[in-house]
Amino acid sequence: MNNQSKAQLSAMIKDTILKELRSKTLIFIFVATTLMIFLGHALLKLMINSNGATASIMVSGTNSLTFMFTFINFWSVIIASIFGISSIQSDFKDKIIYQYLSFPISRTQYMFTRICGSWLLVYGYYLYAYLLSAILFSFATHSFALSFSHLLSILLMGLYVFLIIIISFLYSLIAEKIAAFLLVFTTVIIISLSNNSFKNLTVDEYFKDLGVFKIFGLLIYALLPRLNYISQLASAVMLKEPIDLNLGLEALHLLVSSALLLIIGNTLIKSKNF
Amino acid sequence: MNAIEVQNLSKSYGADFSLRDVSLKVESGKIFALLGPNGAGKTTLVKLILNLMQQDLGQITINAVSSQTPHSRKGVAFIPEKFNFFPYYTVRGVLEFFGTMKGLHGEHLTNQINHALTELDISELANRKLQSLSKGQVQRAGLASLLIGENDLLILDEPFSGLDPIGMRDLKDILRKQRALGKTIFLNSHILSEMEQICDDVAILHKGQLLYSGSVQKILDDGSTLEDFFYQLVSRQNEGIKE
Repeated sequence: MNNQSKAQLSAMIKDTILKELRSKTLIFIFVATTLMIFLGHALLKLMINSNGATASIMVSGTNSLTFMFTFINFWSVIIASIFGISSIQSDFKDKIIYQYLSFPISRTQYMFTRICGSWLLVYGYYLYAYLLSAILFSFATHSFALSFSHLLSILLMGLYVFLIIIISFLYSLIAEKIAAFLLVFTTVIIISLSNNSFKNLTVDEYFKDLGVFKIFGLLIYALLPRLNYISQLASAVMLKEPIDLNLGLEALHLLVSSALLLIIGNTLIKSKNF
Repeated sequence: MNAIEVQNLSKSYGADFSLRDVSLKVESGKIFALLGPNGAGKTTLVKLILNLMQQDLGQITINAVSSQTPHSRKGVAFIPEKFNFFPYYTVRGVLEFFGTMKGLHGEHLTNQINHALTELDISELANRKLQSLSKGQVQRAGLASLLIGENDLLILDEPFSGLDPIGMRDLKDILRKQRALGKTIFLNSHILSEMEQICDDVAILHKGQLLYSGSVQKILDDGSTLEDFFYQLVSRQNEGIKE
C-alpha cells in the first residue's frame, strides 16, 4: 500500500467517525450509559454503607464490574448495529455515495473504511464505558476493579463488536434502516439459539433427528460466526472460569466464517447499482 | 487521444432499455455535452462512466483505462446536479477531504484550495459549514471541488440547473479556462442555448439511443442552431417510433 492509499483510507476512516460522532443516537446512548454507570456507582456505595447482606456480594470491585460488563456489552451490540447500518445508509441518503465512489478508490476500500471507522467509534464507546465503570467502582469498593483478565476480555469483545458491525453492514446493503436493524437483531438471536443448542452436542448428534429447524440451526452454526462463544469466552476470561471450548477449532471457524461474511459483503457492494 | 470511449454500451432496467448499443468518443481537451430530453438515459450513462452502475453489455474506457478499475478515476472530478456533502463540513473541510482523496497533501493542497476558493469567489465562505450556506453557495463549493487535484477530466451533471445568471456566466468562464489548460469537460445537460455557446462537441441521446455525435460547429455551419437540430432529430425519432 503506497502513501496515497494510506492517506485515502485514513481520510475515509476519519470521515466515518466524524459523521457518526454527530449522531443524536450516539449522544443519547453516551449520556444514558454515563448516567447508568453513575447510578450503578451510587447504588453500590449505598449498599456498602448500609452494610447489608447484599453488600457482601457486591462489595468486591470485580464482582460489581462484572455486572456492569453485561450491561455495557448489551448496549455495545445495539450501538454496533446502529452504526454498522448508518455508516453507509447515510451515504445513500441524498446520494452522497456518488461523491465517494467517484474518487479513485475501490468499493472494497470503501467498505473496509466504513466498517473500520464504525468499529473504532463503537469500540471507543465501549472502552469509555468500561473504564469509567472500573474507575468509579474501584473508588466505591476501595479495591482495584480492573485486572489483566478484564483487559483480555475487553479485547475479545472488540472482536464481537467488529462482527456485529460486519453483519449490520451487510444488511444495510439490502434493506432499509429499520428493517436492517431488525434483521441484525434476529440474526444475533438466531446465532445465539443455534450456538446454545449445538454447543454440547457431539458431531454424531448434529445429524440425529434432523428436522427443518435443526437443519436451519445447523447451517447457521456451520456458516456464521459463533458470536455467543466469543462473549462466553470473554466472560470466562474475565471471571477466570474454566473455558469449555476447543479454542483452536473455534478460532479457525471464526476466521473462515468471518472471511465468508466479508466476501459476501464485498460481492454485494461490488454488484450494487447506485 | 480520447478521454472517454464508450463502445456498444447497453443497460436495461428489467424489460426497458435505458441505453441501447451506445458508442461515442470524447476527445481530450474539448468541452463535450451529452444532450437529451428527460429520461433519455443521460444520467445512466454518467453513472456507468463513473462505475456507479454495472453495464449489461459494452465497454467504457477513461484515458484508455477500463472504467471498472478505480485507477481510471484518478484524474476525474465529478459534480452531480445538486452537489451534496455532509452539512457539518466547512467549505475548506470539503476541499481538504476531496484533495486528500485525490492524493494531495501539505502546502500543495492548501495552495490548490486557496486557488479554488478564489476562482469561485467563495474565499469568505471557507470556514463556514455547508449547513449555513445557501443552495447556490453549496453548488459553488461543489464547483470548487472540481479544481482540486490533478484532474484531466471534469464530469458535470446538469451543471447549469439552479444557477443564477451570474453563476452561469462564472461557470462558463471556469469551463473555458479549464479547457484552455488542456482539460476535458464532459457535461450532461438539456439547456441547449448554453451548450451551443461553450461546447466543441455534442452527443444527442433519446430514449436510450444515440442520435448524433459530432461537432457543434458542423451543425452551425449547416445553417441550423443546436436547438433546431436537436428538436428535428428528436421529433423525427418520435415519429419513427409512432409509425
